[in-house]
Amino acid sequence: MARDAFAGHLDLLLLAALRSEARHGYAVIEHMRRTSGGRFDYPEGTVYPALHRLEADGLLRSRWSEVDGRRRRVYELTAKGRRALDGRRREWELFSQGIRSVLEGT
Amino acid sequence: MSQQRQAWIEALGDSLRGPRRARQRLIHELDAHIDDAIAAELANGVAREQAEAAALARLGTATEVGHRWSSDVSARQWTARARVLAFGLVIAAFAAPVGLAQRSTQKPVRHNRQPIRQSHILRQVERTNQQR
Repeated sequence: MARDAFAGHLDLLLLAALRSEARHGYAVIEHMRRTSGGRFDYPEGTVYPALHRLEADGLLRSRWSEVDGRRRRVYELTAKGRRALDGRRREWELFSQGIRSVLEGT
Repeated sequence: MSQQRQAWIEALGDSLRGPRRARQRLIHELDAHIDDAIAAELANGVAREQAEAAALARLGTATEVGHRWSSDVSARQWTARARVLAFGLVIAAFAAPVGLAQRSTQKPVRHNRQPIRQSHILRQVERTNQQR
């Protein structure tokens, strides 16, 4: 996926990556790589400013934690983050349905 | 730590604008990310030097990361200032009419000092002139 298109959906992807469990930054990136089949091309460092912004907006919370003997900042969804994820997911589904309808329409 | 990695971290630190603690946290997170990325490359059989180069290449440029983070922090700081200003204006908007209303219901202050009687002074001046 082109970088601009990816950046436009980064927040939704990060919220989705943290839906099932708390993860640190590298684990979030690895999860997105694995589940997307490596389709996204983006500078991995830009994920961290986005995580900090989502936390400042109250959608995530974070804490220091020992992971495999190393100190990592671990992120998890807040209740507000779960609601935001549900809302953005619905928006995305409607948007993608619209695009598909136009592409397949005559 | 290699020179390349050190340079990346230093460039990141130089490009960050915001509270010291928040900057340190971001640097720590990215340093830990580099550790994890190198470990993953090494596990795939890549040599240490190439592993580090690949990890840094995947991160992107330090200035891009730093500028993005700093611009988010700056935007949040301006939003916070605007909120404080708006709150102050709301308080002022409520307080000003209350203050004016209180002022208008207060009785005027009476001064004990008697006003100077101009006619009395004039009479004294005239009397003095007549005596001359």
